[in-house]
Amino acid sequence: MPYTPPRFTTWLLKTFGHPDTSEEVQGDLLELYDHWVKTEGKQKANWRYLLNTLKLLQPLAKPRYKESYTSRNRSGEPAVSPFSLSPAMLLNYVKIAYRNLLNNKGFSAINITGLALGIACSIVLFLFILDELNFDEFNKKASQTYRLYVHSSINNEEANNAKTAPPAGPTLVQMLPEVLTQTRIGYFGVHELRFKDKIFRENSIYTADSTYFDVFTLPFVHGDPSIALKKPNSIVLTETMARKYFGEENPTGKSLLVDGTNAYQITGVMKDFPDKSHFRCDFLLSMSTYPEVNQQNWLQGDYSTYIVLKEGVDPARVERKMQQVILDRLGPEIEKALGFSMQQFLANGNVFEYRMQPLLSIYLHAKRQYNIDPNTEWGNARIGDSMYVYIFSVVALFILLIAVINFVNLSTARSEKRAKEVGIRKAIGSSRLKLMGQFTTESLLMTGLSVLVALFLVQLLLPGFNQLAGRQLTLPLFTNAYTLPSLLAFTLLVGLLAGSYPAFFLSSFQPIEVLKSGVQKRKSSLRSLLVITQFSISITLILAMIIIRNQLGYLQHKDLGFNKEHLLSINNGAALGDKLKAFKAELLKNPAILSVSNSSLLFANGIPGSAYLFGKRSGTDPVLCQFLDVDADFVKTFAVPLKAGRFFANNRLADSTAVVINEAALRAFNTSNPLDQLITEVDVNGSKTYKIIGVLKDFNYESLHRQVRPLVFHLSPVRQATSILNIRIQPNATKKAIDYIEETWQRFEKTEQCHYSFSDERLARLYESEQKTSIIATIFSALAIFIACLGLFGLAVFITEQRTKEIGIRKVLGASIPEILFLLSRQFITWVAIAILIASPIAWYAMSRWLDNFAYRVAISWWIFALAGLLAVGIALVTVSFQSIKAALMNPVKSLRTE
Amino acid sequence: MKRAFLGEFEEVVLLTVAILDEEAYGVTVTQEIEQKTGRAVGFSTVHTTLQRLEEKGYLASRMGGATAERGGRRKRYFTVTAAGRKALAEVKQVREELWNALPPQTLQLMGG
Repeated sequence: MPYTPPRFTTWLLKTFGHPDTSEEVQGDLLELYDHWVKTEGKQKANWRYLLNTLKLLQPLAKPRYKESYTSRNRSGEPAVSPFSLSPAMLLNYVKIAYRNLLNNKGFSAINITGLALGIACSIVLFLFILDELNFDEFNKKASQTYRLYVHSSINNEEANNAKTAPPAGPTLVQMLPEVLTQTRIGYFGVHELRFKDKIFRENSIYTADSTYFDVFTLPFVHGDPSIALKKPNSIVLTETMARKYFGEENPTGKSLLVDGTNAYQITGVMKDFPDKSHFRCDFLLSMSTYPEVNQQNWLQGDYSTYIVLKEGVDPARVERKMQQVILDRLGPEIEKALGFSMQQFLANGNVFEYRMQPLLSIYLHAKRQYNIDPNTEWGNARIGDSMYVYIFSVVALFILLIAVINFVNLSTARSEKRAKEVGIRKAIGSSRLKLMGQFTTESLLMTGLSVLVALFLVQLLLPGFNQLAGRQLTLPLFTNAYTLPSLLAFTLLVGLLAGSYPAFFLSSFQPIEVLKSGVQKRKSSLRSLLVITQFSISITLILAMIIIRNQLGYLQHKDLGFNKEHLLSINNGAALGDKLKAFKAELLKNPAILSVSNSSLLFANGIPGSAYLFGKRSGTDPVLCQFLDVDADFVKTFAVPLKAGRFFANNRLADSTAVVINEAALRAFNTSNPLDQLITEVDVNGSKTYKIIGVLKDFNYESLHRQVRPLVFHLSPVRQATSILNIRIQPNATKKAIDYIEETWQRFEKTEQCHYSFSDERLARLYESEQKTSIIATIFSALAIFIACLGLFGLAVFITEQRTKEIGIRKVLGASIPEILFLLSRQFITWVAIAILIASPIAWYAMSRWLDNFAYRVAISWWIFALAGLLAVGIALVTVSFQSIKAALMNPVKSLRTE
Repeated sequence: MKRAFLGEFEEVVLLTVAILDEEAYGVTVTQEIEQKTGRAVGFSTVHTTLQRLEEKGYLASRMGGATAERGGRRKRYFTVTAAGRKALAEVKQVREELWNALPPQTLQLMGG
């Protein structure tokens, strides 16, 4: 059986090879290909086959016979329709196109600028979208890999948690033959690592199973991935980290000292994580260091678990089979903690199940499709949003459409000027098809030019765009094999799209009519339709932009329930360790510092939660609450008003068994008299009971995408890795306070810098993706309207030119300048008005959907539409008035004299 | 007398066709040259050279010998024409004249 070469190459050869020798060349190459595959392997053979084919394509291959008007093929039969495709004729098309381009510099400039801008926009947006796609595909088993997540519905409170219980992964591998392997990843917290004199605090350390590298494909620079994480106290680090601690030498076998006590042996250096990985870290510790992870503890949940299925296994079936395995183990623990059996728990309408999410969907779809609570995506998981990919695709298409419409409109508008040419060509004997070919060539030429200008624009603007959007986009013009062919295909597509209607329209003229009297003026309803489409799109974009800005402004200025001004936080408070109390006392000595409070993480993902029972020790209706570890100065520092009872006091020992809750928790517990009631934190290793001593008013400790959730405050030293010092400073003494804080910090902590930030800035960062979207939306809607205006301007030039005589006569007969202005602008204003009517409901619907992302949102009020409408009409008027004023002011003597 | 002009590669191809006698077509010529001269030759180069030689009248061709291996396509077999033979002979003669004109001591220096 002979080998088959790549089909595309064969097609190339067949289609573009010289027809005279086509048969034997194809045969010879097939035979040679077979030979190459046998002697040099498939890849090399493919390459040689392609190379030889390319060299044999016309015009590289030498034609056998001289061109003649009626060229014959080898057997002597005349070839079909040779002339219109002969080089001379094609050259003529290009020449005419070029002359037309120069002849109408204004129109050409408008056309090319509009198209180039449109194409540049779509290229940039396309790069942006591309950057969001194909995450995690570098893993060899990506399509078989799934992340486990927990779906629960307790008392009708639905939750999807990205973190799972530690024994889940190993149990599934053991019990289900379909599961090939698994790996767990757990956050290790912030720790000080040391090698000789190099000491750094690292916050990107994770523990992982020894199977980590079976699941994720990460090449090693030193060491063996299959055994690197097997032994206890092993650590694998990235190339960058290896360089940071060890310079250029190979660190395997050396030890890193963690927190000055435990030595971890370096067993491997892996390449840095690829950009397109949803998970990234600097260090991986062997999970076997902590054997307690393997205890049966099914209620805890802070591990990301990834499983790999055998090839060809139906994931839905595995998901179903999984439930029983997990229920068998989880059931007894729930019973122990809640005092009710799992059956009863489920019979009460509660749901608790493990589900699987494909690895490839994590980055883009975790949020929308799987509804996974972003709060549980803490750690280094990068999470994108499929919605923005859709939005930007649509915007890119729209902008391109506007640019193409410009082209179509201006080309047809100019048709009168070219009518004579069409007539003469037809009279001489050109067929309609050939004329269409000619006009298409012209539009292809224009598009080609525009693409070149666009590429230049993209290179010029990409750095600025990257800065605004926080990306590192590049245009891989020569480094990616697909770029140039796709650009070529794109040029062809846009050229044909823009050129097909003008070609169809222009070639339809009847030679007798156009040669006798020129084109009769016809009202082009298509043209109105196209302009209305353009403006509908632009106005929709303007509306979207206004609404996004409105919402962002609202987010920034909404009353969050606490005083976010003059509030500073030191985010690496954990660095101080035991000296934290002393540091706090030292800070308070300065009058510029009003209050200091130590708390666990807020305003970020990763706020822990637990199940609480109100007023009893067992029951099937636990309430999921998040909790914060705080000290007694929390309320004073944040200035959160108290609703009932009191907050913790510094000197009361009994307060360590007391809790304060927020209003949302009060509603969730469904009580009106919470004070002195008991709540129980459910824990398999012994539930703890606390007394409620106070209720705080709701304040937004998470982003405003969510309603305030039930929250419980514990008076305890911070139990998480991230411990924050919140500092309220004197309004007018910011500089003084910061200087003092930094100076004090340096006295207490020698090795690590103090990382502080203002709370309002940290809050703003919660809406970073929206901020960026807003910027991008603003830029692109401005460009869209600009391109649309370019087209409008071109049309205005053309229409006023056509009506010069009419205006002259009207003026002679006594029309005033405003009347003429009105006459000339009326049509455009009607178009824009219709566009507003079309755009408003579309924008309203789309933006309502966008606003649904926020628990706290602005209303879309009527003035936004009025503003956008006014803006659009204003811009259109200004654009048109350049021309209409010029025409209206013109002396009728002049305009009537021209003949 | 106007001598036939043959490029170096043309000469190699022409000779190879003569060597292969009845079996000369694109593939065999390419492989034979690769074997004999030990240099990698592109099929496309050989093909265009064969075309050129036929145009110059040194080669004649006929179609035939379709095999399944080539997807049922025929081969173009080449044979050297009288003009081709003459051209080869002339080239050889020129070479020999040049070699003979070489002074004996130079020949020795070259290890000949």
